[in-house]
Amino acid sequence: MQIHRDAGYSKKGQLKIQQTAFMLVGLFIFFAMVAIVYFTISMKSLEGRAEDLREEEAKELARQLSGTPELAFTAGSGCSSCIDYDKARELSESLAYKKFWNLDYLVIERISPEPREDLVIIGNVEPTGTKIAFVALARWDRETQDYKYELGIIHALAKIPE
Amino acid sequence: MVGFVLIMLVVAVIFVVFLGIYLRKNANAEPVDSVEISQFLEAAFQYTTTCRISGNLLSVKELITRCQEGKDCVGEKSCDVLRETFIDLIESSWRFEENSPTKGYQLSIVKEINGPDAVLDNMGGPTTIAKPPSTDIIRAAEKPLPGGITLRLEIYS
Repeated sequence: MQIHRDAGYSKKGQLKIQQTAFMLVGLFIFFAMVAIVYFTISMKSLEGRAEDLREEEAKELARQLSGTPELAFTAGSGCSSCIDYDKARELSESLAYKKFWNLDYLVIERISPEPREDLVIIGNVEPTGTKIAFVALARWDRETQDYKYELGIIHALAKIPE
Repeated sequence: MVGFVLIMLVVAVIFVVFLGIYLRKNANAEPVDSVEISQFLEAAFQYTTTCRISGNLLSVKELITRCQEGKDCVGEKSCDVLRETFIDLIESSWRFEENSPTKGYQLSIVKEINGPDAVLDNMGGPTTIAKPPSTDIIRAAEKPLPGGITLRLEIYS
């Protein structure tokens, strides 16, 4: 008799334990899903901010380069932030300026009007991490005897300190 | 047991409601101000177009004003030249193909008169040079111009 009574209590106890275990597992799974959603959202906003920072860096680099006397367009009064394309062409053909800037890579690409043209001032192959920024390019046009303004992109990578 | 199930159901419903609100908010995502597009517009304004007036070629910025005033270039309509120039500049700067990260763009040039809510210009309404967008991620930049004109470029990814 004693044995049968103990078996009945034991079964109820086991059922309660199982219920509690299922509840704990369910709660754990739920909170795990909440954590996954939260971290997914956080990572997305982080990526956005990182992208903004990269764009700001590229803009600052372009601004600095277009402000240097070696590249700045100073001949006409039309554009204070333009890059002088004729000066850039001279620099690309000169070895003297390869180590002038603290850069591992510097290319000025004319993208419009056609044909596209790359002026490689420093470096050969575009490395990973190169920043790009849109710039206006100014060059002297012999046909019209005036300055023409074109659209270009600066590709630049700062020297990594050793 | 019944209580446990009820609690889990309530929690699951609340979770689904929050998830739905979050997804709906993302679907109507506001365009992100883009430094890259802003730089592009600044550089594009300087661009020399093929519009000739009194022997001089106009820049994009000057051409926008000319188009807005309803004046033409020598031998061609200023608004047509403006449209062709912008399409050329935008499509030279970004690739819009199936496999590229950028899928489309929309450029609008709008003149506001009588306050910010009234949008009207001499070009017969907002001028748009558009390709259909296909996703929700939008980068955009706006540039104000003289005469109450605003130029806005959106790039869709």
